Amino acid sequence: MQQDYDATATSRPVIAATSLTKTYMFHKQGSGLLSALRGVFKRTMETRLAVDAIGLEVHPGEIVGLLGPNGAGKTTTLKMLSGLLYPTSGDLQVLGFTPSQRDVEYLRQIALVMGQKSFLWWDVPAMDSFLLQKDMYGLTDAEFRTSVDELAAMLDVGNLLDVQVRKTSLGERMKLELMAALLHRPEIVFLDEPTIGLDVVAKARVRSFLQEINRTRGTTILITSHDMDDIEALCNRVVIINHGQIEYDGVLAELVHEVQPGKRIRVTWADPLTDFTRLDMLGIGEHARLTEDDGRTWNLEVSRDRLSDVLEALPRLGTLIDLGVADADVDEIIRELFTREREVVS
Amino acid sequence: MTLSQSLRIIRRLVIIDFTGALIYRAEFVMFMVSTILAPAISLLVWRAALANGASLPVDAEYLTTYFVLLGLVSMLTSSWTSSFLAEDIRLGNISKWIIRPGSTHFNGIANNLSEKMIKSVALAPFIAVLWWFFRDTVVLPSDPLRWVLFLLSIVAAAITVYALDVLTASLAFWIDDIGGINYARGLLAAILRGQLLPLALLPAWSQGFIDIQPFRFTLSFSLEIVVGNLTTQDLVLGTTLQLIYPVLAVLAARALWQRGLRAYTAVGA
Repeated sequence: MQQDYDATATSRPVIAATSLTKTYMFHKQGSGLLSALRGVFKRTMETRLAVDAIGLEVHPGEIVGLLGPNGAGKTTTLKMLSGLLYPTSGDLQVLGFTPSQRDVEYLRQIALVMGQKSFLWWDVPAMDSFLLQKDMYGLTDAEFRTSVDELAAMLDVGNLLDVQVRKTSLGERMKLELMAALLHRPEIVFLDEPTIGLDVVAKARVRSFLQEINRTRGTTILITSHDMDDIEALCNRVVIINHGQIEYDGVLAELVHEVQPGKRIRVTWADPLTDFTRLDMLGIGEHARLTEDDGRTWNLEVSRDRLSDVLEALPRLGTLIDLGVADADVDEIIRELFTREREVVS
Repeated sequence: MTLSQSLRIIRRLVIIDFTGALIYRAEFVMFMVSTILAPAISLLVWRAALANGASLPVDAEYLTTYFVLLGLVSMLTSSWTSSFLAEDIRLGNISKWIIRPGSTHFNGIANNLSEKMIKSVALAPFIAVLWWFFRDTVVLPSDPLRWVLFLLSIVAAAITVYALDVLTASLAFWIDDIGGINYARGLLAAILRGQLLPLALLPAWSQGFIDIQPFRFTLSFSLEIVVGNLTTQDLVLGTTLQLIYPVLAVLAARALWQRGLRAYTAVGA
């Protein structure tokens, strides 16, 4: 599936990848002592295709979400785009540079934040790490001061700058990580699971911060996340990767439209209602699927085109005290996409 | 990146490491004791052997001066980067350096310098006590040229050892656990660099090889400059090798590191 993304027509891409491929070689080790001993004398090397000839263009100011199941190749893609990994084959240009060459001028224009890796020194206050960033990126005193003040205010971490990093909470640390990564005002920010492990409040803060720097600085953002709320809140464009290939590249709303997932209805009855066959009696059984119930509350998945019929029929089943209609979550939509793909294959 | 930018980054890293290292006071006490204890015991053993009539190719002054200085010179020419760097490669922790305009080696060098600064200060009183205790048999040269060569030799040896550490650690790009390699190297180096005993005490038949092998120039030669009775010819040949080995080690480490980066998988990110 390929969707056109309107913004691409207006500017030169900051990221241009063609037939980008990455394979990993690894030693296959069976379980048990015998396999371990056998491995001493004879090793079986295997090759795994992590990214399979993908093509991708990203334009200035875009926020692009890289989505996919575990092992799909999204993080490997992000690592190649940032310059961490050498591609096995294919062409890749980011800001006019070949990332794997790690030209200093290129590195000055990007930032990578990994939710599971700390870039800060734990034994000293965050400000010491920031001062190191200042020297690395060659910031003047004025540039550094302005950036620190601006980012500290946006992230509300002014009181944490002189605290030993190991004494901060996970959410506070992630905000400090983001601050460190953005001090030099990078053109592109690569984010790998930036909200992993954070509580709801911290996640919301990180999201609004990313939106803010995208809006005010025009920063291009590429993000991988398993948290679909991150994707919904931040990305108007998503790239779905599965088995190392791009399954979808386009606007999130278009994806929802294309997959056409059912509407979610949540019904609360005045009295417990357990006779689901009455749905069939009303002639709506084939359009509504009960996904969860505890007697008093039903969660239904309903075909979009029969939504009005179902809503009309529900009051005839019993006395309603609450009714809610919502769209499917993005993760459900993606799951649906992959389910369809499997069905086509089989 | 210019030299001045690199030095600024290293200076900042030294400050960070210095600050961090000062937090762990107990570690330094343990370090001081272990660093000085081994040479002190060796010194007592060899002096006892001499006192009991053992025939050695060196005299009591040589042995005493050698072991009194051994702790300090050994510390100054050591590197502890290999296992840490290998672990960082294995766990994907070098990623944070690769995608920033710095180098993980700046960090290693800064850590090396900052800890050596602190350890030198911490070790000084222990060396002074040892010196005072054996002051009658500690003999040092008065020629300033020897001391200049001694200092240069220590710097060159430290560079060689650090480069060998990077070289060994780089194997972690392909091998999961380099612990065995590090252990074997450490064992070999302890003998061949003169850590366990002066190289002059090794069998006469091995001296031709011992004199030119690289490990001698990671510790022993520095001590021999001030302790031994090296001829001018020995000094010239030794100094030449002392300058060649770090260049070779750095070139080899750089080549293997660059090759390793191509195989880097940035695990865990």
